Amino acid sequence: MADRQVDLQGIPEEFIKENGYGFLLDDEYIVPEGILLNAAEIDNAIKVQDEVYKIFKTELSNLVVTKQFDFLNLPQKMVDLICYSFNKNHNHILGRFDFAGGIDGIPLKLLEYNADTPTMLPESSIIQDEFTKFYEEPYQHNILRRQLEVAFNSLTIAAGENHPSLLVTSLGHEEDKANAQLIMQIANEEGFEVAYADLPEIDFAIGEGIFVDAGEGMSAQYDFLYKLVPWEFICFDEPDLLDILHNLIMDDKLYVLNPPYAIVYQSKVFLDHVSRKYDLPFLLKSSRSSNDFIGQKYVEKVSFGRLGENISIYDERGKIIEKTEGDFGHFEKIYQEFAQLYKDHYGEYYQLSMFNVNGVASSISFRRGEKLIIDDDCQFVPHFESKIS
Amino acid sequence: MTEQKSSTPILKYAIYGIIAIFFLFKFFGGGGSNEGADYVEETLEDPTQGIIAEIQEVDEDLFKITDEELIEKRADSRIIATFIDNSVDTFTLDEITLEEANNPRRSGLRAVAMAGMFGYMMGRPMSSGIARSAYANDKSFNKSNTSGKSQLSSTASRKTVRKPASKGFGSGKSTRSYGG
Repeated sequence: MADRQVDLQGIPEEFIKENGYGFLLDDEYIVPEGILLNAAEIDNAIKVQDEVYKIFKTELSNLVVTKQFDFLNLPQKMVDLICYSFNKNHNHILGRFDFAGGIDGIPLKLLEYNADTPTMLPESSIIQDEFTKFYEEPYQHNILRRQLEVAFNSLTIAAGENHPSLLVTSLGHEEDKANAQLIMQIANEEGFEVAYADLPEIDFAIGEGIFVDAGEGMSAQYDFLYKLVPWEFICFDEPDLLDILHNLIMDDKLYVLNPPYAIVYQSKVFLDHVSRKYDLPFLLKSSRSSNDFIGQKYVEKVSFGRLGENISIYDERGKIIEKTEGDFGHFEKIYQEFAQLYKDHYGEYYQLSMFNVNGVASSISFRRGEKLIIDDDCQFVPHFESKIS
Repeated sequence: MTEQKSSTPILKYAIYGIIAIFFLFKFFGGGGSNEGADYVEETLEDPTQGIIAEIQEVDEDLFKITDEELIEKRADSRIIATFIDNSVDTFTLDEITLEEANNPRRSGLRAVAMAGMFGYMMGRPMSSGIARSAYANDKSFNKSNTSGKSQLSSTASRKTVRKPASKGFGSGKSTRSYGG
């Protein structure tokens, strides 16, 4: 079997800096290396993502009909919002599936779905695209920027008589703001008036909408909100904000991206729900009890974990072989069958990510690390389509 | 002496207790009905002048504003649309605002009008900006964005409204990424 890791002629350093993403060059997060996939592997990843997204949507639709949301342990107002936003067909504008395997005969297995506040957007879209200048086979599955253009364009039409104005918010971290920046750029090109404000700077007025200080005694109102603030943060850390958003969204005063129903896809408890109903090769067995994995390797996660935090990997004898600490240990634990990651000849592990825009497979990209748990210390690796077998 | 020794500490601890209760009360957000309240004070501008907008269909169902001219009365506002087949149609404010099901051409025209200065005639707040992408070129955009907006604002009527609002959610949580 041929090695899939390849050295590139360089990295698009100037492009990265010019576009305001210079910090991504720190800590060797972006390096002059890529990974090769053949056409069949790319096709398979697209096919699997399409199938998984369809299953997720079907199962969420069933939950909305039956109102059986108890297993997710969410506040009632969040459940109201989930049902409302799903029934109103609010756009699930951007998500990212993370998979193990998918290369060199290693089966593709769904690890999780970053359905609410996916990051890695600049590097997986425009930066990865720029990498095609640094390799002889400049083909990728990467239509992410184009798909977002189409999505925001259709939102401007859907805005109808409302003025298409988008406020993008986060809690202020550099990486989240960099993702916000690209969203704003694309939305603006498609006709949105755009602005950014950290969450604490936004005025939320019941019955009215969201406002940002525009100077000279004026406040500017926005009808769309793209948030890099997780729904579970709103539910459990800022319940008063949930009350206000409940009022604004249900009264059609505000359209939030990603929509409230994204929290269902995001929850790893939903993975357990889905894996119990579907016996498919790309769905890992998941459970709320570690007893279901006696005698086999398994992974312990939390329902709303992020960036590889609060994960433990256990061997067949129940001994921890790898573990990360984190900020999310208070959430419910979920157990998942262990899945093999691709490992290159330097011993580094690769995790395949597939972005989707309104459910459409839009970009493959990779992260890699020296450990089995791919966390915030990993590297970004662009992919290239090759004739390699 | 014995009586004095026993009564002074009780008084002292009572005062300490009152102070502690006061600070705890303040810390947990108590202390009067006006405290914690926040308001958005907004000056709303309503245009009195009108606009004649010239909009061209530059590609099938793709419209761009080529010119916006201010006129005296808002009610006289018009859109003069030149379609790709060179036919020309004029729409009043009522006509362009009217929803027309299954008419993508009309909704495309309306969306562009809304994103430009003409959007202020259609109810878009004057505090919001205008979109460069709605205009055919820099010249037409700059004309509306500078002198056009400025003149429209100078003749607009104004009222200030005060709305209760909440602010400060997520304060002090900016040290980490909340992406996934």
